[in-house]
Amino acid sequence: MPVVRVDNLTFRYNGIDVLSNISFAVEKGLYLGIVGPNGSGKSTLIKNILGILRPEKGRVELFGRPLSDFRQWERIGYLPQRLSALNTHFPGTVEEIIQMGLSKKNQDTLTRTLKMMAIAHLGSRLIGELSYGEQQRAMLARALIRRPELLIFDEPTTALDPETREMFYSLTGEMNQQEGTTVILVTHDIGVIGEYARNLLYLDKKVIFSGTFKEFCSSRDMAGIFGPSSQHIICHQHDRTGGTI
Amino acid sequence: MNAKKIILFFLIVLFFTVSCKQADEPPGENARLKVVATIFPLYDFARNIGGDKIKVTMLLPPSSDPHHYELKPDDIIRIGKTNVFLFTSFEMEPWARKVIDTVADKKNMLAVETGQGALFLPLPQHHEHHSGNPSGLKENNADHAAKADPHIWLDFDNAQKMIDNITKAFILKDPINSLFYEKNARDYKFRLIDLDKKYREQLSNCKTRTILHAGHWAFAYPAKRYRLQYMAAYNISTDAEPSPQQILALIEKIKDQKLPYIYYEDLAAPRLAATIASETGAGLLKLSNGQDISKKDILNGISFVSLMERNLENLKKGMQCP
Amino acid sequence: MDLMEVMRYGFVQRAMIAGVLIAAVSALLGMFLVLRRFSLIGDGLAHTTFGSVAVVLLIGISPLYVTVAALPLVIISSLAIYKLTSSRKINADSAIGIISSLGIAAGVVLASLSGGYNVDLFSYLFGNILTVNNTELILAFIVFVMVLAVVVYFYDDLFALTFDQELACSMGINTGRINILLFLLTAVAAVLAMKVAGIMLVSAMLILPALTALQMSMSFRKTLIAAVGFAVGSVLCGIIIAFMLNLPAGAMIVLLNICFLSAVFVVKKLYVPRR
Repeated sequence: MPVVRVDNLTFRYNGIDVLSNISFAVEKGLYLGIVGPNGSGKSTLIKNILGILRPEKGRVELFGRPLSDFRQWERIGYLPQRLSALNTHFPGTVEEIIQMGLSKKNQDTLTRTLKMMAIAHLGSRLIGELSYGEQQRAMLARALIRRPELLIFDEPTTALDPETREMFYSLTGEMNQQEGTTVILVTHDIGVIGEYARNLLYLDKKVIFSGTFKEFCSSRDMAGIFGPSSQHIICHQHDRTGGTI
Repeated sequence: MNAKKIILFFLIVLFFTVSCKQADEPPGENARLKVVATIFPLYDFARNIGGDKIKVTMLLPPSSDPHHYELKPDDIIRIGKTNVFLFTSFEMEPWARKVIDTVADKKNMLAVETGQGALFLPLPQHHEHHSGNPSGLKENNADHAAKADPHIWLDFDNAQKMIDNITKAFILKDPINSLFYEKNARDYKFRLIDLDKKYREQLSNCKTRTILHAGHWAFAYPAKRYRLQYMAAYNISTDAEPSPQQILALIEKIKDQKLPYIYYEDLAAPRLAATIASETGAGLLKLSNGQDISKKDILNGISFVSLMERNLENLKKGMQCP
Repeated sequence: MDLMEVMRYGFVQRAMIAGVLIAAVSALLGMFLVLRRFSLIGDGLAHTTFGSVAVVLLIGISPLYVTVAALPLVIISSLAIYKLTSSRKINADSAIGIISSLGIAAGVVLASLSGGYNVDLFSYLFGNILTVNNTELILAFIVFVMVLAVVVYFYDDLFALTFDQELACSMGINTGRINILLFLLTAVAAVLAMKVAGIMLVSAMLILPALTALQMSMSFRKTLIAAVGFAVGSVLCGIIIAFMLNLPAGAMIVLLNICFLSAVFVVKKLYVPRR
């Protein structure tokens, strides 16, 4: 049973097709990178998968259940691309944000998660007072605290400082490899993907490519779209971190 | 879209209302003198003096506030077409001046300040922080010259003066029927004199002599005339909150004098009266200022005299007169 | 003026209790509204209440039931504001402006159709906290219990929703339902509070205590409690000071709210070190 399954999804905004006939499946334990140029509909796709937006056509299944029937949201950890209008004065401490919606609030779990993100000293500060990097760490902590089976990140590391970036990727890589957590990572920076994701979904309003990274790099069609030198750079990068090509 | 549909609906309603208002007067009314009176007492006086020789309408819709009345475009036209425009005084209806200035056909319309020659009482000053006096008590002993109290018709001598002014105007505009008008005026004045006598007699020997009024200042005239003490919760403007200490003062006065009743005015939901009543166990009695009339009352054929008679009954009851 | 003596009067006690209940309700709802940039909704709903009451009076419903009869229209307006905003095509403040103007204009037209401003109509705009009767007190209590129950029961959802609506959605929270509940309660609270305390007070009590508490940069839970505290304090002190200085109670309460806000602001500037 795939963790996420999308069938023939079409989403329209103001009469224009933003996503057109998207179909793919994400099996358990996968580390999927969703890439594509700006405006290709990546965030929109994620929002459709999570039920934030409703598609014109098609269906989404989460953990084998249709989206409309799905209730086990604690199995999913989501890090949105941008918090809508985060007011610096929003009265929410880091602790409150991280424990948002948790039915069972456990102080130990909270402390552990804070330590893991190296923000233990920021627990009672207001979220708006934190630097961007610290905020992202807090948001990641929020996504991880439930130990979800599926992690969905939308452009998590753009404009992040190197330490946070590093922490982010090593943590998620660990969870993926040691606990079999499924990871979906959305980014427009294909070079980043190459280092971590084993699977790739290339999106530009339609599915351009869906398969393993290995297949992407050896594909003639991809060479045709990106140009052989670009393809080489991308795939060569992947090589450096010890992947097989 | 929700909002658009609502706007459209109201525009349609507005359109139909405006077009419906164009209903003309039936023909054959041209022979009668056309009179417009601002408020009910003037309307009723005019009705009684003019009888069927005039056609009188009341300008202000029932249950509206004459002091703050906003002239509708219709009104100016209507008044302009009229022969006699009756208003109380420029104090009471400050917008009357605007009407008179704006009216097109000044030759045809005669504006009558019916309160001319009447005895005006000043409005009370607001007493604050009087050390000896429970502060805020608005008794009818205004010491400084202030604006005038517009409720002049509640003094029946003034009412008679107003009748005279109205009669003079009718005669001026319609000399043919002058005897008719004069006779009606005489008869009506007798009714007022009779009413005055009844008030004087029946209010002479009461257990208490205080009119405690949980409403807007209005009854200074009868209070002075019949030698009663008058206390009101608010001054004239309709939208003021009563001052907290004034409320306490009223309550204490009721308890002090063991007043069994407190008066409220028509129209304004008697919230304050009800509050004071619940605090003191006093009963509630209505007192009409002659001008706040409900639509229902007009339909029931109320008249100024009947209102004043009703007032007398309630005054007797409230002040425990034999 | 002996404070203890004043407090012995039934009407003063009722005013204080009703005032405190309404203050608590307004502060709680107001916090969520302010954070989501719906600060002006109190004003907007007041204008709509004016229009609704005009409609109701035109139809000829007895004054006793006007409050209840006006509720549906105000609730619809509140939900209309929400709907207009959620369509993403209109901002919150614009949506409020639209519905608010519609309410007032409709009220003016209908009032003139029914022949002039009924004094009862004005009592809705200028209510009076010192003349609360027992029925209104009970209603205030019922609304208080309802709002408290909703806030407590849906606390986590409301928190998430207020922080980031999309995020809340991704957590499986039924944001549509919670929003409707919020706007519905706001409409009910606004109408009842207006009848007792007047527009001025309602809008002020929705926004000001929340703003004051927000200045203190505390956790969400503490901020909510602080807002309620400021609101309640302003009512109790406001009524007392109104008696002492013989000034209108409603205005006094609003002024106190502003005092609290200024005081907190000043203290923050002086004592909190700038980072």
